[in-house]
Amino acid sequence: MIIKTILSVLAFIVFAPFAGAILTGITRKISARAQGRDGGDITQPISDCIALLQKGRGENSGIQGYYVKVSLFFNVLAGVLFYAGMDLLMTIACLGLGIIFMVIAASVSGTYYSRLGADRLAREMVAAAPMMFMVAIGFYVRCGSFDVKDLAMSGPVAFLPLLGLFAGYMLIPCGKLRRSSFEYRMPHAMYQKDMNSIADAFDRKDAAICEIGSWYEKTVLYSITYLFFANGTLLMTAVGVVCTVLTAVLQGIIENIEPAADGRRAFKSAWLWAFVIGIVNLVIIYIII
Amino acid sequence: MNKSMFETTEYTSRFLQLSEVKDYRQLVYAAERMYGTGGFGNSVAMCTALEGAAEVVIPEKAQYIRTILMELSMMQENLLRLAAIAETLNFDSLSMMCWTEREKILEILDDLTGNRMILSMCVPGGVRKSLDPEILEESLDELNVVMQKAETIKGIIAEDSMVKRRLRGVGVLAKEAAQGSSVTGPGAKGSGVDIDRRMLGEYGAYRNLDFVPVTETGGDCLARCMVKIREVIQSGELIRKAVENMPEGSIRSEMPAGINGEWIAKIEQPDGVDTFYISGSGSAFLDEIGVRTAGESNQKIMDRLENVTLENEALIRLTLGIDSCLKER
Amino acid sequence: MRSVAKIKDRFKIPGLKSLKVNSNWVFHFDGSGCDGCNAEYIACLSPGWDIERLGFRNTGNPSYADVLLVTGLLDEEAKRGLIEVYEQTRPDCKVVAAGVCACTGGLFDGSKGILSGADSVIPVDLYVAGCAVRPESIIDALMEITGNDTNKGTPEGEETA
Repeated sequence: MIIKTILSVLAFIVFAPFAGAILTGITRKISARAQGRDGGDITQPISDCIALLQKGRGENSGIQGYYVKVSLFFNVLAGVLFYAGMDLLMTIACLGLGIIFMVIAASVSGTYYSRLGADRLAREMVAAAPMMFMVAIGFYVRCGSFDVKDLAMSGPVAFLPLLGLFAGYMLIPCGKLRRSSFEYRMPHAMYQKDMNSIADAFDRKDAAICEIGSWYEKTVLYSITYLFFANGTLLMTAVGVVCTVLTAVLQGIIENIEPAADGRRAFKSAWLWAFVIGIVNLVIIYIII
Repeated sequence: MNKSMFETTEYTSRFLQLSEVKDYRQLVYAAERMYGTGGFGNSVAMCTALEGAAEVVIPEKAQYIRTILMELSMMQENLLRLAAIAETLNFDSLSMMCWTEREKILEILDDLTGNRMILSMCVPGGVRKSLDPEILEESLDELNVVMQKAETIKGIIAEDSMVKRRLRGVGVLAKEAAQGSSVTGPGAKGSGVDIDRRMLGEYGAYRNLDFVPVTETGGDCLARCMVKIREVIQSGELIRKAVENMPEGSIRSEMPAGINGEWIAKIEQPDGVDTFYISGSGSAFLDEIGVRTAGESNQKIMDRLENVTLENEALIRLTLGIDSCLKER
Repeated sequence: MRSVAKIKDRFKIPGLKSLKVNSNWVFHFDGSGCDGCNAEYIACLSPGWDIERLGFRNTGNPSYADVLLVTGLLDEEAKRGLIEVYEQTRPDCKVVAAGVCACTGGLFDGSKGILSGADSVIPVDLYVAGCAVRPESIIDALMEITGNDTNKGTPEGEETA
């Protein structure tokens, strides 16, 4: 039992960056196709990160390097707790800590745009928080426990009863998987979709670590998507993996359908949606089923 | 700001400096390069001013060719502005759609004249060469494709609820305020003021093409964006009419060796009205040149708008046409 | 924190430097140009040309860049900006001057306050002519300066170089 846990944790630590990078690549490629372009390869994020690491350390490393590494630590810790089968709420809390340290790292960087990016990330986190907690509560009400071990390996399939929460989860917290509606775009930088307002202020190595941290975080978020389908049986495991990949495709399409809402409006609608859908769905499961 | 900044020649206009060393024919090429994407319009303005000062009438065919190229140039610049506005809204797919259509227009210009934005087709006295009829026919087919896509884009801007929510009510300019100010172009047309230099027929073949300016009521960013996309569609129709009605004849008149006189030429660019003033006293080198671009005139209205926040300011400046070619360069 | 940074730096991944990946980061610097060459570079990122499929990526930080692309005219104010950007780039970074104004000053060469080209400020590795420079020239220049095969991405049976 312990060996299995250790193996799964080690597998996460080794393979999650690659999984996160490939899922990011899928989202990017689908988004490019939706725009009429032929995007790069799916493995392009890995190439980008390797190319960045090959350039070595720059001269700009200040205190933000320390905060970026702490953020990476918490993202990895979130995944370790998840794949060790422990509490889902602790996973969500660790993800939140990871974001908080990234916000601090961006705030202490020198440039104005990185402070705007920090502001954006903080608001994104607070807007996504209610939905994440609703999802965890939904799992508890449906399957009876917060432990990932129980949710993944046994218990009823949580997808259909939690359909509303699944839809909400796709739209709001998975906003981190695509471009955010809280971003400011200034018209002169017309290629701003390529520029990352937070990581661009960092040193080379810190930017690479920030990118790898975001891959760990994305893998954990996709793993929570997998939980919606997981049952312990082989069939549902396969279905879960396929649906996780489809989520990556869906995020690429969603970000091209409409322009982003105003920051304030996005925030209000995120909270409203979380509370309404969450409570309706929970009432349905609690009372009817 | 210390005094030495003004003593060095950082802020002098390079176009005006060239007028000391280049004669009036060479200056047309310099006028084009003041603003790259709106280059052809500036050369038309310069040539109109020179022809007016020299009292030369250019042949009708040259006016038609200038009209066709001017409308193509305005289409690509309007699409560029729309792409920038869509990018500011975080609406990447609409932005890429506008860029794709702009590429098709630039290919048409490339086939007709040999260059994409800075055409160098307009010379004092007419145009440099005529347009090949076969290539013109193929270009009209390509133009039909662009017009269909432009209708799609118009539908998206007019009906998409999120676009409307972000653009409606932003940067409202009332009709009276627009009439009493120096705003031209989509800033004025979006508020219901129907002014357009093309109506006066001083340049180009517009008096024969039944030109009516596009206006919208509303005065907000949504109205100005609708003006831009409707002008793209209007340009396509004007090009078709001009190709059908193009007369035969020569394409160039004789210009005198020296310019004696002064003239002001105002033309319509996608952002507003560009003004060129020239004055000469007999030699090929002009005495005085003055340029005022649309961005400079529109800029003054920003103080009178209300509710300009950090998020809105970029959108308002883009739709009013302020951030392009601000200084006479 | 310097000592913490140094300890972590000793953890190097063996064999990283010998991996060949196709990823080039481009930093675009525009002097006070007429925006013609500017628009053509941005058109390179649009669906018409799309340099992202060839592995190029636009960045906002000069220290990440493999290629520094300079367009537009340079006057005194832009010279200060260009020097500041150039000092942040790595020694390996190549400089491409696109457009005739960045190469030699173009039509405006000789005017007061206009520097005759980017090579009066920083050393330039590749000059690309054109007014406005065509997107195919920019792409060709970027492929050549980063050592890529310039025929990649062209349709079957056609060769460009």
